[in-house]
Amino acid sequence: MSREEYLAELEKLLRELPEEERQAAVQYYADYFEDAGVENEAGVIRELGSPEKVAESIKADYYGREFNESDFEKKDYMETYGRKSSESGTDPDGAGRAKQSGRRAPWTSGKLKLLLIALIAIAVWPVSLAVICVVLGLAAAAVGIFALLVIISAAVMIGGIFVVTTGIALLVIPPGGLIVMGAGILLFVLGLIAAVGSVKLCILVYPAMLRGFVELCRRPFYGKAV
Amino acid sequence: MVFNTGAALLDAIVLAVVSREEEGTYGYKITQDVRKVIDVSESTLYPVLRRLQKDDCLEVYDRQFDGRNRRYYKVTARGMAQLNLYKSEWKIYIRKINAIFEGGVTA
Repeated sequence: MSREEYLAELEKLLRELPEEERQAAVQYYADYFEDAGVENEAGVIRELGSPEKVAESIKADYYGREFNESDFEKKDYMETYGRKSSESGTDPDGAGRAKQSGRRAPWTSGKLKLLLIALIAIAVWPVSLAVICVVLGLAAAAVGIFALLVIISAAVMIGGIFVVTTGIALLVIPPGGLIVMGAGILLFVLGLIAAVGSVKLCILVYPAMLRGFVELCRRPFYGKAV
Repeated sequence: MVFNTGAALLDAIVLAVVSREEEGTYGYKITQDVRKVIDVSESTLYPVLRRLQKDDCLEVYDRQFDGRNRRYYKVTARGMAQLNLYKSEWKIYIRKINAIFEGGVTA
């Protein structure tokens, strides 16, 4: 890749930025190449890294997000040292290769991990099936318990209404009828409170359970959620 | 270097490097000067310079050089104040670190 191609690629990658921002960046790197001298063109390109990386570093700063150089080249501590000492002489091919493989590494390891998990899951299929069943069963039970609470509360409410109507029918014996009616109203109110409480509990608990479940499922694929 | 250079320290180093030149200095030279002291990749400096410029710590101007315009960076008054703040913070920092490393024998 020549300097012109490099700068053109960079400009293309920065097209989402405002004109002024993009021009300033391209101008800077054009200057940079000029000042480094034609004889160092290849060296500068190698040192800068891919236009994608440079573009990302500029965009990350513009949008105020974190730029992780290691996403582009694996530059952990040991490797940097290994390369630094072996690279004191110029070795454009070696460095280029190291950079390329570094960029690919995270992608491969991610896929590999997924594949490994899938393989293990298949290998211990009876066990994993059982685990899945248990998890689903527990989830269903939890859903059931909270739903049951709502139903019980509603039943108490309905029972209260029946007792009140019985009380009205018993009004032929006023004291007895009033007592039964009072008890019915009390029952109805208690049921109402319990119903409202349990419905609120469900509103709180169900989404949380769903989130927990989704998190549990995505954990093996993406690692901890942010 | 074994130690990471955080954003604030990088800002401080860049400001210090630029402030050494009365007339201001340009991107390539700044990069080379910074790289003499710390191990940063060449693409690290542009975003730092851009940010310092937006924060009014650096100002830019173009000057003719070799038949083309070259962009120069200069430290502003605000940048100077920021650099002095960094310097005093740095002194406190190394004093504490030295105290731990050398058991109270400070530089």
